[in-house]
Amino acid sequence: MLDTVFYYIEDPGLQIVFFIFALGLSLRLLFFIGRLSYSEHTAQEGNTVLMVAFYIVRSLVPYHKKMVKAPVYTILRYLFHLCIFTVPIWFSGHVAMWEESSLEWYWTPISDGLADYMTLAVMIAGAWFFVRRILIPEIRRNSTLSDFIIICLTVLPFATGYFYTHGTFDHIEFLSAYMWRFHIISGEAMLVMIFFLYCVVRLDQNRCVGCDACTLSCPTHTLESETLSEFRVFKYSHYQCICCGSCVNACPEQAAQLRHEMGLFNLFKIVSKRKIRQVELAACEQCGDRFAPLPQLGKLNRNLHRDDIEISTLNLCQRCKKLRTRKNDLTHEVHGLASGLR
Amino acid sequence: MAYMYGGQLLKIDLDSGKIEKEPTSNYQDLWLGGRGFNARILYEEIKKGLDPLDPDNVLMFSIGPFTGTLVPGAGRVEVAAKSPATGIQGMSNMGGYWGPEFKYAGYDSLIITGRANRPVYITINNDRVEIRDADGIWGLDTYRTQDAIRKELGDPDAEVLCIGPAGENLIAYASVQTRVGNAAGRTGMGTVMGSKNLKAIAVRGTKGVAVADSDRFLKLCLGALESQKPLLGMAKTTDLGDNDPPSWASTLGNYEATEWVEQKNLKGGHMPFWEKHKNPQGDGITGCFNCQVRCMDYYNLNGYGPLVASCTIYGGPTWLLKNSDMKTWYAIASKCQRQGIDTQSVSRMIAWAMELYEQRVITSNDTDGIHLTWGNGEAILLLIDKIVKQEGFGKILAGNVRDAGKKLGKDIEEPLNIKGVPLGVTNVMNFRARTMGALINPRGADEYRGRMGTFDNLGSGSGAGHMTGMASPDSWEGKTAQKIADTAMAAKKNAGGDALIGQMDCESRGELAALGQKLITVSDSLGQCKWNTIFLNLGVSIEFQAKALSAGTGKETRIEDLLEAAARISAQERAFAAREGFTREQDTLPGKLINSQIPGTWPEDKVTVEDLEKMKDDYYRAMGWNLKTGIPTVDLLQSLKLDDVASDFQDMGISEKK
Amino acid sequence: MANVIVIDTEKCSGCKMCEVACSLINTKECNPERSRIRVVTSQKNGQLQFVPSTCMQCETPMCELVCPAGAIGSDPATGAKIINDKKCIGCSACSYACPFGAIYVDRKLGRAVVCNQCEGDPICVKVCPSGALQYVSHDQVNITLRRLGSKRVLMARDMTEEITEPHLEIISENREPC
Repeated sequence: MLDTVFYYIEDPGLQIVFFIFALGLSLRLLFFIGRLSYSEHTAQEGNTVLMVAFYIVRSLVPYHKKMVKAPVYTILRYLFHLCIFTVPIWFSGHVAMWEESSLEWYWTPISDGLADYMTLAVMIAGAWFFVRRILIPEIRRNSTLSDFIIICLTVLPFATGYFYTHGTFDHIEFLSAYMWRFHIISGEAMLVMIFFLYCVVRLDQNRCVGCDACTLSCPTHTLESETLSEFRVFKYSHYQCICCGSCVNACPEQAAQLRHEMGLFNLFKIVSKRKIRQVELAACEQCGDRFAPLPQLGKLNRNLHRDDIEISTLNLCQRCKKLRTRKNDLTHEVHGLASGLR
Repeated sequence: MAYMYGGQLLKIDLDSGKIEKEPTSNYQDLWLGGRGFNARILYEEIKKGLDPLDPDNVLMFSIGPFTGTLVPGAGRVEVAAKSPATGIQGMSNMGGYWGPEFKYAGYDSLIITGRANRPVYITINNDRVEIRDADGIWGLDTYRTQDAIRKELGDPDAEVLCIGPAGENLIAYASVQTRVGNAAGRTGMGTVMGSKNLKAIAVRGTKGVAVADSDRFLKLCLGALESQKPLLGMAKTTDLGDNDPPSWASTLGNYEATEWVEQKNLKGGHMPFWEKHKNPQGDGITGCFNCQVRCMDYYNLNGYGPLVASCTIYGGPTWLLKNSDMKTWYAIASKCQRQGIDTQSVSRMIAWAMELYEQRVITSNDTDGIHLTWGNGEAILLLIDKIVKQEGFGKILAGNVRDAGKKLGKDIEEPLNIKGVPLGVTNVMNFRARTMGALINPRGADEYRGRMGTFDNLGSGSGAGHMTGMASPDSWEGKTAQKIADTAMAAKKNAGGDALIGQMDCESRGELAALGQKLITVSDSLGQCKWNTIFLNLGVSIEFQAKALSAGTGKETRIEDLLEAAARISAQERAFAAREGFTREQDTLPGKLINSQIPGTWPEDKVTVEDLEKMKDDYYRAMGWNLKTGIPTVDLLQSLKLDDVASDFQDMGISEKK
Repeated sequence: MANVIVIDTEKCSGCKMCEVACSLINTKECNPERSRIRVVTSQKNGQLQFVPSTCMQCETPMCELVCPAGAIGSDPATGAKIINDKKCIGCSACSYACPFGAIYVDRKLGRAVVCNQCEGDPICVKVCPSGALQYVSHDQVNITLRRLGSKRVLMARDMTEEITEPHLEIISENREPC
C-alpha cells in the first residue's frame, strides 16, 4: 500500500510538482512585474524594469543588507543560498534524470565531490541557523514556528539526498529502503514550499522607534507610513517588495529585517497592504499638533540625558518652535488655534 | 508633468454634492488661465437669460500659470460668474494668499454650481475635497469666519476666502474677502456666493509648482524684481502722501476731491494718520503673495481693531461722502471689510442718498429717521448696518442700482453706474483715457480693465509723472503704444489740428484702450497682479511675461501668442454679453456725465456723445469687432478658433461678417 | 565661523518671497513647504503676525549631536551647516532636536535639508523687500543686533544673555551655551 502511494508520489508526482513550481514562479514573476508597473510611485520614478534588474543583479553579490553590520552571518547566508540553488540543478544524479526523461535535457554537472561539499555546507549552515534561532534570545523572540519549518524543509532534501547517495543510514533496514523516497517527498515539499515562500520586511517592535527612515528609503514605495489620527501606521505588502534591503540599511535602530515567510494566499493578495507597525505620535505641548513618534522622542531624550544635555523644546512641534523665537501677545493667543488634529 | 499649472480643474456641484476633477490641459493652450478659463467656461456652462441668483449660475475662482511662483506679484485670483448687477459676466480680481495655496493643492480653477440646501463651506487639502456644514460660522464677519474655520480644521496655515453677512443677505454688491484687506469687490461676486449658501472656501496645498527650466526662470524673475526696485515708490499708497495735492485724491484724479481735501485741511492725505496709527508688524505695510510693492497700509487703531487698506478703499468713505474725519473713514472701511461689502459701491449708493437728502428730494421719513447729511459718520455707519441687514431704507440701497430710484417711488435718477455696477471713486471724466477705459470695460464699474495708466499722456508732450507718461519707452508696450500715438498725431495734424494729443482729446484713445485691454487681460489670465506690470510704471513688460511663461512651461510662448489669447478671451467675454442682448448701445456712460462740465476742467473739455461714439468706433476697429453692433465678427471668431461662438451668433441672428 | 542671516521679525510684511526664491533655487519648484527659510504666519481677528525663521548656525549644534549617521557638518568655505546626502537616512532626529525648527526632512528627497546660506550669497536676503533679512559677517553680528534693538530681534548663532532668554538648559556646567 505504502509502495503504491510512493509510486504515485514519484510518477506523476514529480511532474506535477515541477509543473506547479514552474507555473507558480512564472505567475509570481508576472504578477510582481505587473503590480510594480502599476504602482503610481514607481511609474513616476522612471524605468521599473531597469530598477528591478539592477536590484536583482546586485543581490547576486553579497554586498548589501547586513554585510557591514554582520559579515559572518551575511557570507554564510549567501553561501547557503548559493549551494541550495546550485546542487539540485547541477548535481550529476539529477542531470542524469533530466537526460533520461522525455525532455532529454542535458547540461554539464558539477563534480560529485563538489556537490558533496556543497550539500554538507547546506546541512551544517542549516543546523547552525536552526540552533542559533533557538539559543540567541533576541532572534528567538522574533521567530515564529514558520521560521523553523522553513529551515527544516530546506535542509531535509539535502540531508536525505546525502544520506541516500552515501548510504549513511543503510544499516537501518527501513531507512535504507525508503531514503530515496523520503528524498523525493522532501524535495517535492521544498519545491512546493518555494512557491509559497516570500521574503518580506519585518519591523522589530522592540527596536523600531517609528522614525520613517525605512519608508523614505524604499525605492518602490512598498513600505509606507500614513498618519491616522494620533498614530503613524506602517504599511507593507510583499507584492511590490524587491527585497533590496534599503530599509534594513537605513534603519538606525536595526529594527528593519528581511525575513522569509510562508504565505498560502499571498499570490492573490496584490491589492492592499497590511499594517506591520503602529506608533503613537506625541502631541505638541503648545498647540496639540501630533508631530513626532513618541518612542523616538523618548529615545532621543534618553540619549541626550546620558550626555548631560536637555533640550527644552523637544516636545514642541516645528511651527511652535519657530514661534518661540519671538515673544509677543499674539503668539500666545494664536497658539490656541491649532489645537486638535490636522 | 504639469509645469506652472496646478493640473486640475475642480468642479463642485452644491446641489448633489458631486466633486469632479478635469485636467487643465483641456483649456490651457487656448485660454492661458485665470480670466481666460473663466470667460470660456462661463460661456459654455451658463444658459442665456439665466437669473444670476439662480442655482444654475456658475461661480468660478481661477488662477493663472504665474500664480504661486517667483513672478513679481504672483498671487492673483480672478473671480467670475454671471453678475447680479450687470446681467452679463461679472469679474473681480483678488490678491492675498489664497491663490497660491490653491495652486499648491494642485488646481487651476474652481467651478461651483448649484445651491446647497443649508449653509456650507468647502475645504480643499491637496486631493481631499469636502463640503462641510457652515452652521456655526454663518453670520460671522469675514475676519472671524477665517479664524473659526482655521480653528475647526486645526490648521493655522489654511488660507480662507469667504463672504460676510452682506453676501449672506444677498445685497447687490457683496464682496468676497480673504485675509484682512484682500477682496474681490466689484460686480457682486459675493452675492452669487451667498445665493449658493456657500460661506467660505478653505484651501491648503503642499505640492508646489514645478518649473521646466528653473535656472532660466529664476534668472528672469530676479531680473524683473531688480528692474522694479527703483520704481517702487510710485506705486505704494503710503509713499504717495509725499505728493501735493494729497495722495489718494491725486491718485484717483479727482480735482474736486483735491479741493475739498485742501479745504478740510487734510494736507498730506492720510499719511499723518497712518504714521500715528500704523501697525508695528511690517512697519505698517503689508502686501500680497510674492510682491515687493506691498501697496497696502496696515493699521491698528485703538478701539477699532486692525485694518489693511489698499488704495481703492480710501476715496469712497472720504471725499465721496464728504467725510473728513479719518477715524470715521477707518470705522467705515473696517465695517465694509468685515461685513463683506464693496466699499466703492456702498459709498456711491450712500452718496446718492445723501445728495437726495441734502436737496430735500427725500426726507428723514424716507430714511428711517437717519439724518443723511454730508460727512455724517454716525449716519453712514448706521445706514451700512441697515444695508447689510436689508432693513428699511437700507433695503432700497442694498438692491440693484438700477432699481434704487424707482423703489423710492418718485421720478429719481438712478445712482451713477456703468452697466449696472455703481461707479467707482475715480473720476472717469477727468481725462479722456480714463473715460475710454470706463466706456468699454467688459464688467462696467470703472476703468481698470480698459486703461493702462502709462498710456494716458502719450502724444501730449508732457513729461512722465505718477500714473502718466511712459516710464519704459523701450518696452514692447512703450514702442507699440507710441506708434499708435504717432499715427494719431499725424492724422490729427493732417486734419488741420495741432499735432499734440491733449488729455481731453479723443484721438488714439480707442486704439490704446484696445491695446490696454488686451495687455490687462494677459496679466489677469496669467495670475499676475497688474500693479506689478506696465499698467503702472513698474516696468515688468509683456516681454518678461512671454519669456517667463516659456521658461516655466518649457513651451515657447511669444508675445503674439499672449495677445492672440487675450483677443480670444476678450471676444469670448464680449460674446457672453452679446448673447444677453448687449450691443454697442450698452457701451455708454451715465447721461449725467456726458455733456456736463466736470469741476477742474474747461468747458470745451466736455465729452459729447459724438466723442464717445467716435472713440468706440476706433476701439471696435482695433479689436476687430463689427462697427455697427460692437460684436466680434465671424471672421475674427473663426481666426480665434471660436467656431462654436460664431455658429451661436448665427443662430441668434447677430452674426456679422466683418 | 559662519556668517549669519539676522532676522528682524517685526519688519517682515509676510510676502513669502524668501520662501518662493529659496525653494526655487534649491528644489527647482516653487513650494514654500520645501523652503529652508519659513515665515510662520498667524492671523487672529485681523491681526497679522509674521515670524521668519531659519537655521541659526549654532556654535554647538543639537542637530549634529543627535544625528545617528553623522551626516551633518559645516561647509569649509562659509561655515554654514551642510548635510551629507549619502549618509543621511531621513530619520528626523535632527528635526526634533533643533530648538528653532530650522532643519527638517524633505519628504520628496527622503533626507534632511537645512539652510546653507546659498554658498555665501543667500537669495532670501536678496529678494526680501522689507529689510527684515540681513546677511551679516560673524564679527558684525553683535553690533547689528544692538542697533536693531535686542527685544525685537531674533538671534545670533552664539546666543548671549542680552539677546534673548537662554533656550537650552545645559545640565552640566562644562558645556558652552548654544
